[in-house]
Amino acid sequence: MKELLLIIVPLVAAALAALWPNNRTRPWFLPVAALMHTLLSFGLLLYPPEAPFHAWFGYDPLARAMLPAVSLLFLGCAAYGVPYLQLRSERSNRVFVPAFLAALGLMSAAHMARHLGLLWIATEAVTLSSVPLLHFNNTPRAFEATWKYLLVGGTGIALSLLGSFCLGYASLHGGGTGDLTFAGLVAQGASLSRPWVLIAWVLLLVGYGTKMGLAPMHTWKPDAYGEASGIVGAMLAGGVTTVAFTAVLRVRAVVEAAGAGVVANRTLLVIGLFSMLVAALFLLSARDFKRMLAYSSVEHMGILSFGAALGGAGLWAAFFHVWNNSMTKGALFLSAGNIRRAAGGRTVDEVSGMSVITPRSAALFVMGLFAVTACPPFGPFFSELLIVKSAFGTGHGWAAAFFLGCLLLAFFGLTRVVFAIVYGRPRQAAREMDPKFRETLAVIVPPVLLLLLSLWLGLFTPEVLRQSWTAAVQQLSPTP
Amino acid sequence: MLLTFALWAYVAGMAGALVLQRAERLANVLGFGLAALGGVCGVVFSVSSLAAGRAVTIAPVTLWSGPIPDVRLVVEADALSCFFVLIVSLVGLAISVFSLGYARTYYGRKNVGVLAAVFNALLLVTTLVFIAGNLWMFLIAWELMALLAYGMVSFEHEDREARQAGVLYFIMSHLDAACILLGFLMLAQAAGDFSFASLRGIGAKLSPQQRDAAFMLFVIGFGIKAGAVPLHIWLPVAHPVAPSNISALMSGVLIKTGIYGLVRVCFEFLGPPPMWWGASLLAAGTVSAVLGVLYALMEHDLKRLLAYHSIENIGIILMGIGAALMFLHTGHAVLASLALIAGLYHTINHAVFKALLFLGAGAVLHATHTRNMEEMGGLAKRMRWTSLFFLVGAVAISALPPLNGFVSEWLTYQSLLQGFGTTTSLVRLMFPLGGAMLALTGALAAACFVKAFGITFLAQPRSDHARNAHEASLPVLIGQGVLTAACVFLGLFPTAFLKLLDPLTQQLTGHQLSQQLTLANGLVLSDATAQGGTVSTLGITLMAVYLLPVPLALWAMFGRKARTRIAPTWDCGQRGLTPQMEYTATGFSKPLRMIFKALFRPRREVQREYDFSPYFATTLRFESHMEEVFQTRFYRPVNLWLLRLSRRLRALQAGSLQAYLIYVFITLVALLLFAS
Amino acid sequence: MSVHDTLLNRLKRGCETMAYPKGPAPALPDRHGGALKVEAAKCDASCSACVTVCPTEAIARPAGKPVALDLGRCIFCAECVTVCPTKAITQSNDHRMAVRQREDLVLGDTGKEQVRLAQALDEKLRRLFGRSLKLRQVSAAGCNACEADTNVLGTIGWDLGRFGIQFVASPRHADGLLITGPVSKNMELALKKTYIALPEPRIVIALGACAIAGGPFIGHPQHHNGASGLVPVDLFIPGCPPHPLTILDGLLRLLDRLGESDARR
Repeated sequence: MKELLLIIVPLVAAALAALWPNNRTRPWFLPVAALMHTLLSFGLLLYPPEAPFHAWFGYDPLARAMLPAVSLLFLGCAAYGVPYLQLRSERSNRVFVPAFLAALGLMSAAHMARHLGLLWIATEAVTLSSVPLLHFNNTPRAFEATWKYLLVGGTGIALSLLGSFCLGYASLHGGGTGDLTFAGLVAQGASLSRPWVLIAWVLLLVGYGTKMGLAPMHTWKPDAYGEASGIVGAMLAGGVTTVAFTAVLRVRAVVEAAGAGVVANRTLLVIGLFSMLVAALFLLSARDFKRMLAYSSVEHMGILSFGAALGGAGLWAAFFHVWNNSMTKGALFLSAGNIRRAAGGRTVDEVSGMSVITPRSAALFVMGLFAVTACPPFGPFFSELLIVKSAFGTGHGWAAAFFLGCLLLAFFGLTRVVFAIVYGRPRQAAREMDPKFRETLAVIVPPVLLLLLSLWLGLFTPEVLRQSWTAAVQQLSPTP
Repeated sequence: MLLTFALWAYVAGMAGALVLQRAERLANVLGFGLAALGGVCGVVFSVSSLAAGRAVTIAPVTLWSGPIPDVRLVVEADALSCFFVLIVSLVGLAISVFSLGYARTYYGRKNVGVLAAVFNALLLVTTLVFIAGNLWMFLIAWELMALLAYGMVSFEHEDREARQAGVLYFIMSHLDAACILLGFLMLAQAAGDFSFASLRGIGAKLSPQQRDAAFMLFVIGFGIKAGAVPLHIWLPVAHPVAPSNISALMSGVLIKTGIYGLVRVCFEFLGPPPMWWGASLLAAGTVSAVLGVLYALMEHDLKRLLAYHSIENIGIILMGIGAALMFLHTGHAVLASLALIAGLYHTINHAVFKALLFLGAGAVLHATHTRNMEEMGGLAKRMRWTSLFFLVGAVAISALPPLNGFVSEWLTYQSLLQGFGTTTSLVRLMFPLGGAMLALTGALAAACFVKAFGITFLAQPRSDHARNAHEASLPVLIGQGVLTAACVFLGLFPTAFLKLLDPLTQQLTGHQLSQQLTLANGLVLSDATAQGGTVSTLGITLMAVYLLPVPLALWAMFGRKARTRIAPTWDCGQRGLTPQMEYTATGFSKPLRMIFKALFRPRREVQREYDFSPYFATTLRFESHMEEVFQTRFYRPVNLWLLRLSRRLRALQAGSLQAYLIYVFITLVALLLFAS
Repeated sequence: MSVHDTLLNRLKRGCETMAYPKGPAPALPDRHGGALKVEAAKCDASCSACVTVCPTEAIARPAGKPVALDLGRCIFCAECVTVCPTKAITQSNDHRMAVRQREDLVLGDTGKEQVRLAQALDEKLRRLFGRSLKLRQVSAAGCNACEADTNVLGTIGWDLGRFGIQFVASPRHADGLLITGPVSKNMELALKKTYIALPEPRIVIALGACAIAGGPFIGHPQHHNGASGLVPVDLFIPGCPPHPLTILDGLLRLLDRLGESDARR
């Protein structure tokens, strides 16, 4: 029952917000609903239900491992959203706030979907609900970004639908009863028709991979993350990608049960490393610091795929990394948003010396850089090191070396841009600068808290989280 | 126990300085005072541990056990750790005292509390690197060290040069951390465990290719940190721009972490070395030594000159270590011990005299407001003590008896010269060649310090700042004095110090050499062979002291009748001596620039403006450049190639939606083919 | 030429240094006029032909006094010799002209027909410099003829070094100063500083008409008319320029290295 609340509460809040007349006080729906959602999801984390609510739908170990991260990230974004929307009071947020809340609800639904079709519906609903968020800035470039997001995303949608059909057919062909729940598909196991399973796997990987932002299906990301405001970017990078990752993992469990686990892992490995390489190479000549964050997100999706491909300890580390990634990306996007607002420009040519103009956001941005490039003592250091360690452990030494190499190249690119923006003599592109922007506590505290969380996760990973990840790994690959 | 107390002192210094940021003086005194206290404790701890001769001083202790399985921080101190803790504590102590006075120059300008806090933090994490007992502790301390040092290099980040230096340092540090991580992971894979205790001798379990690969990774990783050629490009850029006490710490201690890592890995973890390991280290060391000093000679920035000398001395240390590895391969364990002792003795010597020189440079920099030697001069009269200490440091680094540089280079020579007879393969030619290159290096280093000391301190001041220079404050002088005393002690009493190295060599090569190296009750240093080369720095000094009455007596007998007249220096009949008549640093090194022009590729440009005759120029502009060989031939091309690749790839993200969709389609097809 | 050829050549040619002062002086060319001899007794009472013809006003004939020729101012053009009707002034072809006092260069009065040659240094100085005299040369704005003729003394034939006389680079290494040239105002400071830089005991040698009295530049406002007014001079060697033999004779006379065969007075 409580699981349903996870979906209902944000959706109801969305409806209420849509009806709420006052533009200035509407943003408050965000933190209120977010707080309730977070309390619910942490309550469920600590006291999970014995069995999922329904065969199609429920709070299983996989959802338990990932959903609280999304919830926490959303809370941070919601807290930031209030001062942000009050800063943007010239625009009506009657569409923004409900869409944002609806996204949260739908993301919860997608995490908890245990049925192939329901998963598809929920994931695509998330896509649709995030379209108005992208468009909030209402510039021609934002429009173009939204358009590309829709189209490339739409292709992904179509492909995953096709893949779902193929998987369904594989089940039917293997003598299945038409039970398209994941548990049912896994139970069918080896009787699933192998060629159909493989086709389905490819289609679903490409489809959901587009949502995740794996290369080369990532091309919508730079535009979308570049044009979206910081709060939306954080949500996309930390939340939506997690949803897609969950989807990929569920499908992979089916494929593995069908006996094609080796192929699945290999494709995940290749696509993960390819994403990291592409991201690293693009980062080397990055100029726009928000698009840079998009490529960093591609890189981290590659890391997640790589970890998932390794299975076992690697998969466990990938879950750890999902949490770290969400927190870190949240902090990065929010502080980047502050900088963008204060500086008015977004490339290294237009912006420099932010340590003087917005000292706190600049410091946060640099700290975020350290975190995302795996400097100790931040969380990503531990999760990425564990992934590398498990790579060595499973005999993928060369892949691990390639992994580290891509991390290094990405590091070069990120460092260049961040330092160019933060240091130097202050210079602002005066035309787009927001004169009302001030570094108040309200816009600083949320990213600080997210960064501190990422630090805390690395040093004092709570037992309950670790246990939830172990349970999720167990669920996905129940090895004897 | 003392070491714990030292570490807590650093933590307290860090916290206190941060808390008291607003009260500059308090932050200064508290922060650096506690660092000094920590240094004293560290010195006492390490000396007493080494003197006690124990192999293991602190058995592996888990400091913190993370929630994630087998993420643990373990510390462990054996003789090698204690030796390096001695280095960091001694140098840290001197620099802390120095900083008490030096930090005053930052009052009102920059945040002294942050400076003191990061200094304490650096000492803390460097000590942790040396006492790390497992991979997690080592890596975390290593990366934190790089991060903190980066922060200090860009302390004066208003200056563009400092910012760029910081970025380069940060990038190279990450590169070396990645290489080290990979290497350690390869070893840990075979051991199944991340603790150093289980990594000992693990090389035997790896295949030869894996061992070679691991060795290469470690050499690159630790080589970047140590500053060996060709991985050194960050050193001359980063060390000059940091505040001088940090430069001293970096050059004196931080680059020694690379040496520590190499020794630890090569002698303990990787197992019996093939010949090419030691030979490649010897070759790299020789090249570093010669190139380092050659580039140092061409510098007129005082701190850059000292930074290049660090590269040279790291080269000398690597020569000793490489020779030791070669001797291990040929089975001459005694010679291996000798070479290792030579390398490690030079490590502590270099730490001491390089820190001393940097501290002196810091005092000079503060007095003259410039790093450019061409604007200094005449400081010997205005900064008597600083120039005396700098002179001692210069004599020490030029390896002149009876100071410490001489002792360690003598030991290095001895081990190299005896290497010729250890094997019959052609490799043995490397030893006398290395010895010859070492001799060349020594001579060039002496020339370089004649220039450095002479141009900076002697003759007349070349600028107003130099003319108005005043002696540094008392803490600054005491800090330098501590290191000077250390130089003298290490030079005059090598036999006493060698006893401290016994447990080290016992652990690493299985031999204790101090007995064989000591003759005549500690007066004479021997090279432990039958031919018996010996030297006695103490003897030289004592002889000089004993013979001193002779010229005094002669003077008393004959000299007093002579009339003396004090007159101005002969100036060829000019109106008087002016700074324009003095050697410039560039001019002094010109002959060497011409000799080695194949390396330097100097380019010279003279522009002259005149009204009616070229012989009466109104303005004259002279520019002289040297090619930075490694940057232009290797690093920049690689950098440009990567950037070009990246930019070409950008064409793929051109904005065309059709292209994006085609990518998806291509991926689909490829994966379908791949999966089937 | 290779080293081998050089050595062979040297061996073939043997020692080419002249025997003087242990042997006769080298033959002097006809052009060499040598010292002037002034016999004032031979003068006409009212003749002052030599006075007017002297370019440096070296000859004076005050009323009622005998003619006086200052050899220090003389540039040895020999116009006075040509113009003298009574041959009171003649060229003696004597190369020996060096003196210790400036007054010894004024000829004409009875007993002073020829220069009173230089005496050696006193015993203390002779002990110091007799076998090793290091000189610092100061070229004070002259025409360089005196320097050229001094330079000749360093060649194989003359070999100044065999007497222990050498030219050194720094006055701090020198025992004496050798001044040539009329000492322009620009060189005044340099000359004085060089003299002060010489360690004591020191000697000063004024070489040539310019250094003694200004030579052809006498009376010019940019010159000091020689070194005598600026530093105390111990040896005057007249000539314009003096023949190398004259210079050598003067130096050896100063050091008492000539041997008694050539001593006079």
